[in-house]
Amino acid sequence: MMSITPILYWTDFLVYTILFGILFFLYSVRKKEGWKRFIRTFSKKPLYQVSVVILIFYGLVGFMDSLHFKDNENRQNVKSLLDVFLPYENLPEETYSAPFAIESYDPVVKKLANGSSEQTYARLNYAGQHLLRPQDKASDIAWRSGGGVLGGLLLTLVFYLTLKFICKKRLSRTIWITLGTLFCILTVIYFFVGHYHILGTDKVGRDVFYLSIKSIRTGLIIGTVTTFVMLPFAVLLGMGAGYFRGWVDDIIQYIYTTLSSVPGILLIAAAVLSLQVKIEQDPELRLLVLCIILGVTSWTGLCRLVRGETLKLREMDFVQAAISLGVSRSKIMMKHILPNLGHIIIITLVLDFSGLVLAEAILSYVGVGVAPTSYSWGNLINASRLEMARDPMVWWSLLGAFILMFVLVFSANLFSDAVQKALDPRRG
Amino acid sequence: MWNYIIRRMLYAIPILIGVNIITFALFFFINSPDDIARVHLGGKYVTQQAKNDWKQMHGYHLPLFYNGKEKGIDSLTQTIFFQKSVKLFIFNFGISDTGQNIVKTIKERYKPSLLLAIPTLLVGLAINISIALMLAFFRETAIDTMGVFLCVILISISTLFYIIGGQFLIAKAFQWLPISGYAGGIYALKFLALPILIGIAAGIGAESRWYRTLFLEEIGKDYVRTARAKGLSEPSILFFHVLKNALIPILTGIIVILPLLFMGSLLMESFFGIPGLGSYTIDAIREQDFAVIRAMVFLGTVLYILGLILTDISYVLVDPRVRLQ
Repeated sequence: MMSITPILYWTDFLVYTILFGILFFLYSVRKKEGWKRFIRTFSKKPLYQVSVVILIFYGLVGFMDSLHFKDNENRQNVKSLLDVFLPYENLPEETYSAPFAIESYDPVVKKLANGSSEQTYARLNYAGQHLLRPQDKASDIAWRSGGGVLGGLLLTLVFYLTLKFICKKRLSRTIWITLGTLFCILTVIYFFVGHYHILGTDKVGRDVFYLSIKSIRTGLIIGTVTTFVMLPFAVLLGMGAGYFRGWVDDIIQYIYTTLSSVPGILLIAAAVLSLQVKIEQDPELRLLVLCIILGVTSWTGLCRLVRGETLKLREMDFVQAAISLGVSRSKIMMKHILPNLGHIIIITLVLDFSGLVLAEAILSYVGVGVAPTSYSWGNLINASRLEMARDPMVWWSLLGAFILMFVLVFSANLFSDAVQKALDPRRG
Repeated sequence: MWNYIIRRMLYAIPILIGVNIITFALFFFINSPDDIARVHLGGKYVTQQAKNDWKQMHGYHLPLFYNGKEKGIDSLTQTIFFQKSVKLFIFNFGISDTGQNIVKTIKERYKPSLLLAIPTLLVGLAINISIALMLAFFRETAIDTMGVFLCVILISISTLFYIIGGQFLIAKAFQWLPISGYAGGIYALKFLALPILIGIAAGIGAESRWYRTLFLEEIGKDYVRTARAKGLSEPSILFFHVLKNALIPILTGIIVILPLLFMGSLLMESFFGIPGLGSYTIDAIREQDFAVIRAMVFLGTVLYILGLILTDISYVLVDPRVRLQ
């Protein structure tokens, strides 16, 4: 039996906290009117249901990748639970190889005995090593995909029966189709893992599929931790400004006008560069600091909204009544004003998420994003940008980043659309 | 009106002071001048002597706020704060950490930026308004639903992929236009066409959807119902009533970013090798040229505030109900 020691990064801790926070939030609102409207919006549009399933799936992958541990026999490298299912870290090739290739992408020049040279393609170190003859590749791939699809369908069936007999919950047909597709994709991937490089390998021979899957965690952390960093600033300051008015309002308005006057990317770049010296050692620390910087520079929009809404709420009869009854300020804010700000806050958080995932890639391109050694879509795109000039072109790194990023951002956009429809009184 | 404008300009001063304090704190407190010198001289093993020489050369050897060695007013002016931060207010940006005059470089580089940004904005605006009008015209039909769905797909693609995909398809596969580079005069057109095209394509999703919402909001108003009751045809309502009124929020939204066009686009210019202010900024960030970044932060803030003031003025011009006081 292999013994392991769990490792907890700060970012992991935040991931657990946020996950717990979201679950707790869902639990506490399950009987509210807004939640029911929410469910109704979702039951009307199948596309929204698909987006939720996909988001949950991404969340699970990100969560699995946040469970870090150290192998006691091999003390140096920290692994996550995801690495157990995708053991690509120990399967590096020499350099580029195409998706599903078993031979190298670039020809190797071989000197023959008679002095002339010949171009050949070398077999890869790991991919396709189980094949006895290279000609078997096509039938092997067909068998594996067929088996994968069959396995996926079987898994869906088991899941369906379990749900049906154990908790008698009914899910819509769209959800089942999405789940079935996801399960099939998963099992097909599972049948290929370790035997082929599904999306080829990059310049130093790392598996591109592995890199793009590992980037999910970075994307999710940037999207969620940032919003949770900005939340307290925006809500407390916005509520304070709107409730107390007068000089408090002036100061808070001055702060957020000043911060929002600087073009966003320049402020982020300035902050990251000035902290560079302190954070260049540890990629996880750098990720955390990046989230904090993004949070501190982006709370102004929500703060302005919260302030405006608080100004309005403050004049409402129920708040005025509470004031005249002598309810304390903090209680008025917590009990009467904050709950009525809920929809604005949730809409903003969900809307910001997809923008932040996209921003990560651009920041990495500019050079002020996550550490160059971290797994992230931005780094992946950045590295493969240079490979575009190669002939023949290496396109699979871009494809991996593109698909995973697009599916996440697209689902998030659909989801935020649904949230807006359900919660925004002006739409609906 | 003039009173209002002057007051707004005075309001800008404390904001600019605040921005300067932020950048000053970031660059000189969190990051000491020693750190800057070390980064520029490269590597970890830099002697103190080399750092001091570098600091002397670039004016970072002075004390932060108060220079005890100088007499009179010089004890305040011969400081990093005065030399590097206060001088920004008179647009004296000094020299960059690599030794060039920043103001001179900006004067050389703003033209390509504008040549790229203005056509992108104007052509993009025309296209997006047309698409939005079409979607609003076909509202609550399959065309509208599909259009909005397509917009969401377009929004979900990172700008980086628009650029890379466009470069690959148009410049590499079909070889219609050069992949990157720049030339002066009429030849600039050849090099600018592709980035302009990609810039427009990248904006279509978000902007058409936004304009469509504005149009639909306008269509729901009472005067549209009156016009319809009067017997006007749907196209004439859309073009003569709705378009006119919906243009107010669209144009005022554009005016905020007009001055910022001067700063250029970071991504487009660096991908296409256009020697504008955007690529200047991105190079400064990559080379950690703090003098240039400081200047750009200041310039960007000034332009943004200018945009806000222009927006207020434009409200008065297009909407007679708005009065500035």
